Amino acid sequence: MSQEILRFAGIKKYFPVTKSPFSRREEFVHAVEALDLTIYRGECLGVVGESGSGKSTLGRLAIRLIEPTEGEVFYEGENISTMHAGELRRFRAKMQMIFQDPYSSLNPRMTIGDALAEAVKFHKIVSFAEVEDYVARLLSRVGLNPDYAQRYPRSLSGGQRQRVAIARALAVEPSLIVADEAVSALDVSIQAEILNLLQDIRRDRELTLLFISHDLSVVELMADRVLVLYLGRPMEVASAEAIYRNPRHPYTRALLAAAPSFEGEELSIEGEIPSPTSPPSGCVFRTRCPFAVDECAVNVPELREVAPGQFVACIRTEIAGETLSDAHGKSGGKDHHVELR
Amino acid sequence: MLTDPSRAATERDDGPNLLEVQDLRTYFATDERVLRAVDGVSLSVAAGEIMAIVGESGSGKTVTGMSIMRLLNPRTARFEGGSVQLRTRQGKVVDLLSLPEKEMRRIRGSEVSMIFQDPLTSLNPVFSIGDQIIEGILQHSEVSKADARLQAADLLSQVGLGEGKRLLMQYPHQLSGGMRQRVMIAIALSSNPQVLIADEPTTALDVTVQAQIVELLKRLARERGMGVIFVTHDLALVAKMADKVCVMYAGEVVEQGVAMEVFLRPQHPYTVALVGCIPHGPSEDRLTPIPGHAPDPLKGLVGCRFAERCQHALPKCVQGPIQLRAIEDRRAVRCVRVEELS
Repeated sequence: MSQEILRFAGIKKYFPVTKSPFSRREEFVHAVEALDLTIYRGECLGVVGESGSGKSTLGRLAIRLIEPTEGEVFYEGENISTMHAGELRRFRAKMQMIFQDPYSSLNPRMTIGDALAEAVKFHKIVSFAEVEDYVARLLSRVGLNPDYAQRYPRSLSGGQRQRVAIARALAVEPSLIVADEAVSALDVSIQAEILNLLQDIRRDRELTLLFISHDLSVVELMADRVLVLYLGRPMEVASAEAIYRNPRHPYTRALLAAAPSFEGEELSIEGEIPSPTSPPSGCVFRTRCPFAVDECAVNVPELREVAPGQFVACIRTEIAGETLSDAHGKSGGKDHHVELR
Repeated sequence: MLTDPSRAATERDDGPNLLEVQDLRTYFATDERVLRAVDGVSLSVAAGEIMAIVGESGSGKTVTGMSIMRLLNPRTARFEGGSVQLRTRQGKVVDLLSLPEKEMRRIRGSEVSMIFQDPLTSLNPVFSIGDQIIEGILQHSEVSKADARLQAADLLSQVGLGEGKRLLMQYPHQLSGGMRQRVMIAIALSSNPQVLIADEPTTALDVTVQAQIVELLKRLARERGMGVIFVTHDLALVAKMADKVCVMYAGEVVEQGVAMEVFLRPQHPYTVALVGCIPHGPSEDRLTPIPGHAPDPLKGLVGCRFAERCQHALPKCVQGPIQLRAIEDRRAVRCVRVEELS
C-alpha cells in the first residue's frame, strides 16, 4: 500500500462570491486551503467533516472537475492540473465519480444500456460488437438483471439507480473512484447493500476509493485511512483505527462524541461551522474548541505526526488525557447559547 | 382508555398520557385502489416523554404525524378508523379526528405543534424572525404586540438563541440551518403546546448541530412537561434520546418498547434486520442487508407484511392478521414466532 496514485500538492480552492451587484468588494469562500495529501494505490481514504468543510470540493479537485486556485494534483506522478483538455479526457477513464443523488446523475431520456455504453464506446474499452455484452456483464456485476439495459432511470428505485451509477463508473475500468456521499440518500437497508457492493468491487479490482461522507459510521466501515476536514483545512489524518479508537484532534473527538452511533465522551460542542468567507485566524476550529487558548489564534497549526502515521493539526498536544467535559467545566457558563455569526 | 393489553404493558408506571393514538388508519385513494399508508397504529405520549417513531421511507411514520395534526388533504386522505385523543391544558379529552376543522385550527399550533425537516421552507423568507414568532403568539393569546415581542425574545433565549432581541429583526436567510431549526422550535413553543411533533428535525443538520438540537428538545420536554413525538429514520439516534419507540414497517407498528432496549435487544425480525444494517465498527465481515424490498402498499396483504423478506417466515405467518402482542414488560411485538426466535 505504499505506491502513490494521487497526490495533492499545496492545493487551494477559493470560490468568489459578490455580496451585492453594486459592491466592488470581492469575497472568497475558502473551500480548500493549502492541502498536501497522498492517496495510495488500493486504499480507501475516507473524508469526513461537516457541511462546508470542503469535502466535496476536494473530491472534485481530485479528478479535476474544477480547477484549483493554487497548487497541483498528480495522478500516478503526472501533473493533471496542467494537462490539455484532450490529454485529460484520456485520463478521465482512470478516474470516475459517484454522486449522492442517482436521480439527477442519470439522463432521464437515455436507457440504462445507452448510458453505460456511451462511455465504453468513447474510451474504446471494448470493440463496438462487444459493447452490448459488456454492458450486460456490468449490470450483473452490480447485482442488476441485464434486462435493465432496456429500461429508463425513472422505472428504477433509488438503490437500483445507485447501482447503475456504480456500473457506469466501473464501465471504463478506472483505478480511482471518488464516491461523494454515495449512500447518503438511501434508506439504511439499501445503504447496506450498496456498501457491500462497493466493498466487493474494491476487493476484486484493487480499486482506490476516495470515500466522502458525513456519516462517521459508514466511513469507519469503509475506510483504511481517514482525513478529517474542517473549513477546508485538514484537522487530522490517520488510519481509521487510530481515528476511531484514539482520536487526537479536539474536532475529531467532538465529531465522534456527537454521532449517535458511537459510545464515547459525553459532549456537545457549541455553535456551528463559521462562515468560510472569513475563517478565523490561526486554527480555524478554535472558535468552537473547548481547549482553545490565546496562542491558537496566532498561527495556523501544521499537521504534525503524533504517533506513527497519525497526523494532527493542533498545538495543544498535552490535552490528550484531558476529557472534553473537564475543559467545558473550566470555560463554564456558556451552555445552551449559540453565538451569532 | 387503555383497552389493548399490549399497550397496557408498555405503559405501566408512566404519567398520564397527553396523547393517545388508537388504531389509526389513514388511507389514500388513488385512481382505483387504496393505499394504506397507516394501518392500525396505536401509540401514546406522556408528559415530559419523548416517543420516537422509526421507519424507512414509505413506512408511514410521517403520515402518522401528519394525521395527528390533520394536515393531510381531506380530498385524498381518509381516516378509516381509529381515534387520536388529546388531553388539553384544561384537562378535557378531545378526539382530534372527529373535531370540526374550525375547532381543529384552534388546537393546531396551540395544543399540538409540529416542526419539520427543512426549516428554510417552513419559514417565510420575506418576514423577519420576530414577525413570525409574534404572529403565532397573537394567534393564540390576548396580549399586546409589545408584550408579544418580549415573549418572542424570551422564547428565543429558551431555545438557546441568547441574542434574542437582535435576532428578532433578522430574516431566515441570515441564519444558519441549526439556528433556523431553533427558531422553528421557538415558534412551535410559542403557544405552550401539550405535544410537539418533530418530523426528522435534525436530518438536514450536521452531527454536532444535531446533538445540540436533540439536547434542546430533551431539556424542553423535561422542563415544560411537554410530550414529544420524534419521527426519524435513525435508530441509533433514537436509542440515545428517546424514552419509548415504535418501529414502523409498511404502515404498521411492528415493535414497541423502551428505546434503548429495543435498540440493544431487538425482537421483531424486521427490527433485528434493521439494526444489522447499521454499520458498526471496521468489520471485516459484511453488513447484512434485508433481502427484497418493502411490499407494494396498494396490495392488500394478509398476515405479516414483513413475511416475504423474513428468513424465519412460516406458512402461518401469512394466514391471518397478526396482532401486536405484549411479550414482556414494556415490550410489544407483531410476530407469531417471537418467543421461539428469541
